[in-house]
Amino acid sequence: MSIQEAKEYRLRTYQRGDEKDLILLFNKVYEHFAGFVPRTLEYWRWCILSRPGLSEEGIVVALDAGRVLGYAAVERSGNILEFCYDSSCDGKAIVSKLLEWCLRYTESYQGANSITLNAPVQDNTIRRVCKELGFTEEPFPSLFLRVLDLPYILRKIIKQQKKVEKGLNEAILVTLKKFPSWCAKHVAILVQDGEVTISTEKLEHPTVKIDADISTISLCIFGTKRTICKAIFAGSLKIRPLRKIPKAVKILSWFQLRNPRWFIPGADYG
Amino acid sequence: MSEASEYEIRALAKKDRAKFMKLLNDSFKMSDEFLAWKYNSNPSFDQSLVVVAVNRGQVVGGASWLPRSLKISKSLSVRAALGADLAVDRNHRGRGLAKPLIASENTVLENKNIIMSYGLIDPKLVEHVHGPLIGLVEVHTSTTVYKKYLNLSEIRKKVVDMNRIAQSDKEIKKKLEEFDMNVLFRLRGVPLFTIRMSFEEICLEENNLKDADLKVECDLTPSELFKSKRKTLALFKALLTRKIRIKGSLRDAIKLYSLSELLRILFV
Repeated sequence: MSIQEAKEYRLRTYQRGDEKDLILLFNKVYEHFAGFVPRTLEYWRWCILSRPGLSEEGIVVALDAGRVLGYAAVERSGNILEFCYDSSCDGKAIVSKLLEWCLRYTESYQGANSITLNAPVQDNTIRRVCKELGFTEEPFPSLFLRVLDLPYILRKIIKQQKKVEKGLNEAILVTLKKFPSWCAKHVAILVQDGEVTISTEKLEHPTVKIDADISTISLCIFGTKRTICKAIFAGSLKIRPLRKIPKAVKILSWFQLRNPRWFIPGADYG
Repeated sequence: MSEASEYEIRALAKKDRAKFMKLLNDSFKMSDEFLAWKYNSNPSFDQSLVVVAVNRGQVVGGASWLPRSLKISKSLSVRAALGADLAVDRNHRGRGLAKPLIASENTVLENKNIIMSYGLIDPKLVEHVHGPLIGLVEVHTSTTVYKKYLNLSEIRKKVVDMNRIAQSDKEIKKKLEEFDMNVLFRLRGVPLFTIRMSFEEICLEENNLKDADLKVECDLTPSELFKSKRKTLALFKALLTRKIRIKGSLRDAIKLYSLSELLRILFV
């Protein structure tokens, strides 16, 4: 065990003025996840501090020499609304201390029947500690989403896309088969030597025509390259002329969010 | 004429606010304090993102959305709306009222500069209720829920559900005719408990190690047990790898397996 691992972290309950450090840590830990709702002072004070069922004594902070390394906000009912720690330190020790504290705190209330914590699936430190503390794992409810402004989202994605190839010139017309009344029926994707333009005009002479419904397009955005190929084989994404399929798949893959990891903390719903 | 047309679906007006809160209070047992926090003191609450169904001057249904900035990938944020509450008064349920309330998302979120809507929805409801929401797709999440039961209150509720199903399902009822068994469960994250299964009743007892005919120990999480499409295969695999251990007579174990659909309630 290294000296760092053997360190004893100090735990104390929330004190006025902690919120800035807690928000900073939360935003640092979770900002790379899809589903992240940025914490501002106003949002955090409303979402955590003024939430009925959660008192200031239910917020525990882990410190090392005055530096905030983790915290947990737990309701009296046992629902851990926010839980985060600095993984660059001894994560296991911090997570263990925080979770053990949450357990003791929840058990001290007669009304609590269980304690629950939402965590990213990939976080093996939390998984290991939860297993050691006798937690079981339950499935997270199904997350559904709906794109309301397709051209806007496509523009936003392409603006950040680094894989746009130069030397590719296509005029793609996407025609939505099933679409909400307020949504444009056509989306034009003009690719000209590394420049991509999105509009809602109906192209007169497209080089590629794509017919799909908005669900298929949304699944392509939030899925993987395989999703596009699967949609083509299933017939829900029709690309004409057929010889243009490889190029169209390549262009469509630029609009993919590369399998984002969705993490929804307990505080952000319910 | 559909029954839903007896109702006027419109944006929440100031005069409806208290009635809408009462509806949520009755439907979800949300306290006044909680509702005041969730709506009135929410810094991003927008009253125009609430719709109500009105019948003879009474608010009998409602749906609400909460706007927020949402990350949809590592580096991309959009303005989104979380589908928050959907409630229908118990006397007006079963009349197709939820559908138009949900469909109002199309008009409510229009011109609000909202790019996406999202929510946690029971997939069973999507087909029947969320049909009008064209483009609604399920995405894979990387969120998991760790849970530890501190007492048997939640298991007790599950046993009530088991009894209800046992009484209404003829096949299960028939299988239970020959049953009189005490099964001790040692599940991960749950205090030790025994279930007494008989034709008259399924009841739960704490501990009761002595009278158990069968002991079931399980290290698997419910999602590990039931995520597989081939549940029987997953069960046998778990038995072979000793992630599920059953102590008792083989005859009793087979009898218990015949009620696996009923026992599933305990695990999810």
